[in-house]
Amino acid sequence: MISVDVVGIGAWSEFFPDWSALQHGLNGGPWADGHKLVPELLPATLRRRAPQTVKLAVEVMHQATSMAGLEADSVGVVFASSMSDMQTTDRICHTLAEHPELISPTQFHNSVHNAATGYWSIITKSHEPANAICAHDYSPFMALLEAAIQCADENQPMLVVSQEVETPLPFSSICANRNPCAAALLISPEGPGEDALARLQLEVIDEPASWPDLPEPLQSRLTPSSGANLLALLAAIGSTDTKPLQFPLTPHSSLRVWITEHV
Amino acid sequence: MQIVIDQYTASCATGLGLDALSRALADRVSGLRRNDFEGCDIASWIGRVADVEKYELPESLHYLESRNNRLAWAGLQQDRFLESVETMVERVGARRVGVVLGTSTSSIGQTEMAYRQLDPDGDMKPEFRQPQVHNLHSPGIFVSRVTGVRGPSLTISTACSSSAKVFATAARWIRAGVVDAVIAGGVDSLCLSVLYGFNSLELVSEQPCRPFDVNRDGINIGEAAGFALLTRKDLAEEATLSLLGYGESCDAYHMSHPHPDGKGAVLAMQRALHHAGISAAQVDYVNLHGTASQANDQIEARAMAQVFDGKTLASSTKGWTGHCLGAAGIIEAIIAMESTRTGQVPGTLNCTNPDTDFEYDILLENHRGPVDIAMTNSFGFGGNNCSLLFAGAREGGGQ
Repeated sequence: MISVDVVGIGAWSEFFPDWSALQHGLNGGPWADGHKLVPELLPATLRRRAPQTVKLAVEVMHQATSMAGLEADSVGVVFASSMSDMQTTDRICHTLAEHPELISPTQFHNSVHNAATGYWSIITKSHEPANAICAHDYSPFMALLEAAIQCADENQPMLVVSQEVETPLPFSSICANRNPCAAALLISPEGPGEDALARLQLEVIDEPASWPDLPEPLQSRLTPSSGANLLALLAAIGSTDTKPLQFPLTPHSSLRVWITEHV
Repeated sequence: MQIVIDQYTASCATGLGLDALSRALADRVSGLRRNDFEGCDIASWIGRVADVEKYELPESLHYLESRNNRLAWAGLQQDRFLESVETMVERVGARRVGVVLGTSTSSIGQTEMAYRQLDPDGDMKPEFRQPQVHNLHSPGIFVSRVTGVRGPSLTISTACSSSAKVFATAARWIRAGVVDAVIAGGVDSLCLSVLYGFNSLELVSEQPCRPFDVNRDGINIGEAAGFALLTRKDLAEEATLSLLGYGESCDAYHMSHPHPDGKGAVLAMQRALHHAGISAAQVDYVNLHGTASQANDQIEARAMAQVFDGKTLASSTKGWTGHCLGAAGIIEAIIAMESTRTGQVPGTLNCTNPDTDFEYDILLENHRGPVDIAMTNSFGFGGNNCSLLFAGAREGGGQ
């Protein structure tokens, strides 16, 4: 059993610009649509160059660290995305199919899976370890497990970021994300808990699980994706329900999450 | 808890398996060749694995078809690696063995192929609709499927540090008790994205790459598959090699240019030493990242001078293998491990005129002598760095 405290939360989609708006909506408040993504932390020069994956990640990472009141340069990062930056991949693969010598060097260096953690470290001047992982559909909770293990083992606060972008046409038969969406959790080693939003106890269970439904106001708005799937955990952290949750971790196993102290 | 390496295997431009690599290193025979990668006319040299195409996947694995997975398939079958995994599974159970692989571009070669023949509506043709291939976890999915292990499985993709970082993650998983053993490694294969991408950044040499040479003018892109089986000492068959430490860091400087003072590189090496609880003077050999790009080699030498006193041997082996990107970490970790086992330290192939501006002396000729502790450096785009430390028992040393 691995135990960590949640000390910050970030969330963004066109339906909620941050965690408090998401919580408000989940608690029966009105939903506003059409939010525009404006990652304030990203300087204008980088904002022009950065792909959407970077903007999404930086925005929710910034929200989570601000909420926790932690200096970003003390925090390690585990970034996850099940299909990574499909939009940059799409542009590069079209160029390669037509005029390969015209590939853009900026697009190429932006295409690495760790682009978001790279930009994040540059903006925040953080030299702390940063990981970028993928476990296909299982990415969000594999990232949470990975970050929690690292948090406990290295005794360091860790940001977990999970996000997806809209699917470009050639990928549409294998993946159907309509909504760019991102979520971040800032976890820290189990402490006195005064500043914690929740305590998570995690355990790998040798049985498969199915994806939990999102609470209804979200379910009908967001297409299922690994970005959206982490929201199921966020929703539970914001609710008063205390039963353990189980999320798919591999085709054969799941991650059991007990939320022991609520917001 | 001591984390040991039970078995390992490496396949790269020098051939399939450890013997081919060891022979090439000892005989100073490069695996690089003029670029003959299909569909790419860039004037460069590449580290292509000659027989990848012949390693057809069995029918049950056709849904995972890609060059990258063929390379993984070829690599897994060397050095009795699959037998070692099987033995481990018998000992601890399939659910107690995890998979942590590194890659930079995974099976994107297959995605590129799909884009060259999209249907009239702009969608992928049915034969290319492979959800488990067109994503970065493709090597992790493939290795989990082929070995039948059922523990947690993920793929790390932090550009050229990917398959070095797998050792840190694997060790943490074992220490946390989530698994008893991990198949760690990396697979990255030649594809148009990296060939044309690095070319667009003017980082590719038209000649065989010359790491640390005053006339170095860029990298040669290579491909490789390497795997290591990590476990606790009490579960290993013959635990002669251990993972002594690791250090991870970020440059926080630029997406494609290293920090001018080597800050992230220094931090990675220092953190690895700190984690291992040893001093720099105890390290006998460092396998450098040494890509043969202008910036990397100069800055890595500067970083070395800040950590080591000059007595530790240091060389780059990319003149043999090319830069295997997301698989560079595992291949060079294995070269470092082999040096502790055999006392054979490779020099730096193709470096005939070392840059005198460098702040650290690079080993040019092969060297023979005891290596108790070896380090390897891996630095990637996005300023993502990882250094690893291995300790071994010399042949007949009986450690």
